[in-house]
Amino acid sequence: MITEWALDAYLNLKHQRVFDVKEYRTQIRPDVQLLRDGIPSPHPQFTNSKFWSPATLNKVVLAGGFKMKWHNLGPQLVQLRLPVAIESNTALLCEAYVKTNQAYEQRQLARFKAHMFLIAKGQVTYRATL
Amino acid sequence: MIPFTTTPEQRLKLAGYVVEMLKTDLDREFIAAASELAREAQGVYDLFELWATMKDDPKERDQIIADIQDLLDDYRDAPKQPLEKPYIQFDQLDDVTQRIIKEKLTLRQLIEQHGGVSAVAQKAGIPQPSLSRMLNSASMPRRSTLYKIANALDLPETTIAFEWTR
Repeated sequence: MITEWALDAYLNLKHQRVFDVKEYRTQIRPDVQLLRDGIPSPHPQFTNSKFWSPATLNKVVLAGGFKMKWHNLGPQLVQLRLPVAIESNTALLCEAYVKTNQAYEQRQLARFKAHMFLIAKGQVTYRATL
Repeated sequence: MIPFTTTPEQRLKLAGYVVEMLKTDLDREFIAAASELAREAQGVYDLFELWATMKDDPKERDQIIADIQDLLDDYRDAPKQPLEKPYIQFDQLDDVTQRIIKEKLTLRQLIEQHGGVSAVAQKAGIPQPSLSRMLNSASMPRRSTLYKIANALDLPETTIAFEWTR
């Protein structure tokens, strides 16, 4: 599921020209669609920690929280991160951000954690299914 | 217990962060609402903790305040149960962002006519970093934020109407 929080993040990334249509269609979307097959994933990419890893904040793993990662993406060669919450075997895309520094990533993961709290209570708005 | 609930020990630490925050010029109502949420949601507590560690970085502190305000709005607007809204096709995102940016530009001009971002933020009871972030991003503005601005500036709804809102 694509949450409203994720849609909001995409709008900003699109506006900042972080990725274009080609990258979206050939890289991002195919990778994200692999989540349809559930977690743990049958796809070998998910064993590569440079692509998929548990989300951690202050060295503590966020239970049910993961990060999908792309490196040197787009014309600006950015580090794109997509925090994903797994709830009842369903993947929910929660945020999307360009990792610029550690402090920024910590803020994004704190937001992710606060959103996971709402997801656990069923209080989520979603915009599309994967 | 729901995962990511603030622990009793964290609630005690939170009291110290609130005392620090009260020494700033942040709106007291914002601090009260934010600390109440941080007592429940650990992610918000984490932002308080980050804020406390960023003593020497006012810009980063501003961003943390904007994050906390975002979460206050997220929690206030959260549906009681999962809610599906219509999707937007990827090909339409560019068009949507352009319309949002254009409308925000008009809103910014209105805000400048009424004393600028800081003055309007204060009148509307919105943290200044939060209003700045809203104006500078391509995110869909929240209707509740637009109402606060309209009420603060005594503007009719038609003047602050956006095609795309949350």
